[in-house]
Amino acid sequence: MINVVLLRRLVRGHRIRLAVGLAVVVVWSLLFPVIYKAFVDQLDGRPTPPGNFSTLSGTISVGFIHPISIALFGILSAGLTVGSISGERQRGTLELLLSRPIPRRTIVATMLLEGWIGATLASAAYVLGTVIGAQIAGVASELAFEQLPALFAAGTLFWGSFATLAIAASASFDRTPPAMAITVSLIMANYIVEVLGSFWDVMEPYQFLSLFNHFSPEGILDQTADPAEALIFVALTALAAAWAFYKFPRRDLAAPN
Amino acid sequence: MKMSTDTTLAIQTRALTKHYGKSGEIKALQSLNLEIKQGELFGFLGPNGAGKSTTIRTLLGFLHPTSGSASVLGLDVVKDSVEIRRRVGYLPSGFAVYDYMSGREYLDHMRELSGRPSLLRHRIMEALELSDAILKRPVRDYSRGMRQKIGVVQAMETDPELLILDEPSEGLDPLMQRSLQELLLERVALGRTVFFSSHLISEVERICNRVAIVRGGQLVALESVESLVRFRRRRIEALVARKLLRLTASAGISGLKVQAEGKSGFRISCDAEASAIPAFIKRLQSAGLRDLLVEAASLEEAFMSYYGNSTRNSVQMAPEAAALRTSKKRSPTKRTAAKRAVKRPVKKRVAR
Repeated sequence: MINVVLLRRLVRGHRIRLAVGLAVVVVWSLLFPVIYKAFVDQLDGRPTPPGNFSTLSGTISVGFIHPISIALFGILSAGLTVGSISGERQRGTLELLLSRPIPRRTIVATMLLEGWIGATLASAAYVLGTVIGAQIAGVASELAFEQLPALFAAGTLFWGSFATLAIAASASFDRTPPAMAITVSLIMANYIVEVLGSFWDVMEPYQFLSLFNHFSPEGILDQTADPAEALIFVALTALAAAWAFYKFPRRDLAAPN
Repeated sequence: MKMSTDTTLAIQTRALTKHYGKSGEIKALQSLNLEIKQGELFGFLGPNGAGKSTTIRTLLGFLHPTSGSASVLGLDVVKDSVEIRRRVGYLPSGFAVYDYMSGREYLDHMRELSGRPSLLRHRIMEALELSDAILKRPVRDYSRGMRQKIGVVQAMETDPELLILDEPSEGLDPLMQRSLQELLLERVALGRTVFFSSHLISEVERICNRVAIVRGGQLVALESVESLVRFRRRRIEALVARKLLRLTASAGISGLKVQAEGKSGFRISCDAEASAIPAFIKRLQSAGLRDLLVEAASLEEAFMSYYGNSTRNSVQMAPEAAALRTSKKRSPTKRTAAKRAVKRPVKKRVAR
């Protein structure tokens, strides 16, 4: 189901993006425990005001769903898959890939796996940066180490589901821009619904529609998150993957212009 | 549609039809019937949009037939697409590569994906003048011709049973085109089959056994190259000492022009049917033939005759094509005479 030769080439083709992106995620994520420590120090014993920055888990959570994190995780997960099939098609390299004895579903599965590898590495980099930051800031004692595997798994599942949506879009178009537009629009729409719902009463009832609403790093670290919410991402992944596996083998691939 | 497959055929299509668009308004292929034997070097000609690439892409499983069926090496193009691609080498038109790789990395990658060992890489590299030093350079630095050579290597290096090449000479200089042609002839001599589309009619004429001409998604001719060329007219130019009388009365001669050339005599130019040439030359000799040029009909002329008379995309049999059909029904004596008269379609110059 997976073609190792193809996977190796895909990862190699994205190696610079992966290396730089992962390094930036580590640096970015280690900032948040440091920010938390600076915030607590500034309070200088005064009562902690309510808000995300009042706890280490809340601060880490802000970092995880910050727009910069979304851009970084997006590049390292959905960004790898969105241009996979449509990009090869647009460049004209899909021709020769398809001329090899590889079933089209294997091509989809291999490209999807690369997206999930990116999501996995990005989540691991975030957790690693958080641990390093907590050690640097001297707040490691406040970090729920036993919950870090769950945070890693949830982050991987969350961004892996977007990578799967991206490949479903990629498998449906001959060019990357439409696939990219759909993927970015989906991520943006989910994020906007979540943000609007958090400070606008009118939008609050619709906040549950956002995937970001079902991904709570703070809840995972504080053990208040509902594990069943992971099923939403599992279902979304299954649906998007089913579409890609259905659509791509049935597509007519006419000669590129 | 169920089809009985002949295992001696490398490619077989039966009423192969491909329509594009939601309501099938674009008719890319219309009921195409082709049979290509194993060991043939088969040329596939047609202008842009004629259906050449659609046929090739359907054979390789990139496109799904609207109706009809096709088999490659006895395998169904829909059900056995993966197995077909295991045994076929393919070079697409407008060949694209992964720019971040070197030539060698690219070839190694494509060979690994094919799951077959490289048997001919050095032989092809030698023929196409590709050195190790060139292969070490990134593909993005290659010229178009160099990229095309890489494309040829990836298609041929595993010595596949069938080579499907879409415009293989694209971007190659004439010397390399000739080398490629020799490579193809070499593979065919060893029992491999080559199916290739080309705009270079001279190339098809030089190396192919048979040729199919498609237009508007339909097959308009499927002949041996020799047959196609045989029944085309020849251009004759001659210098004779004395003016010939009643020359226009000769059957099979047209477009006759006679010009006085001072003391040299008379220059005669005309078009002639192959069967009329021996008698015409005899008459020229009787008038004191001094110089003679018989320009053999090229496949290009044959090709143009299929296309030249139509301004619309609708498929109509050109008069020449109809004549070709009729001429095949001529008496054996006439056919033999025509064959004798023009045994080899090459330029001949006779000086006296």
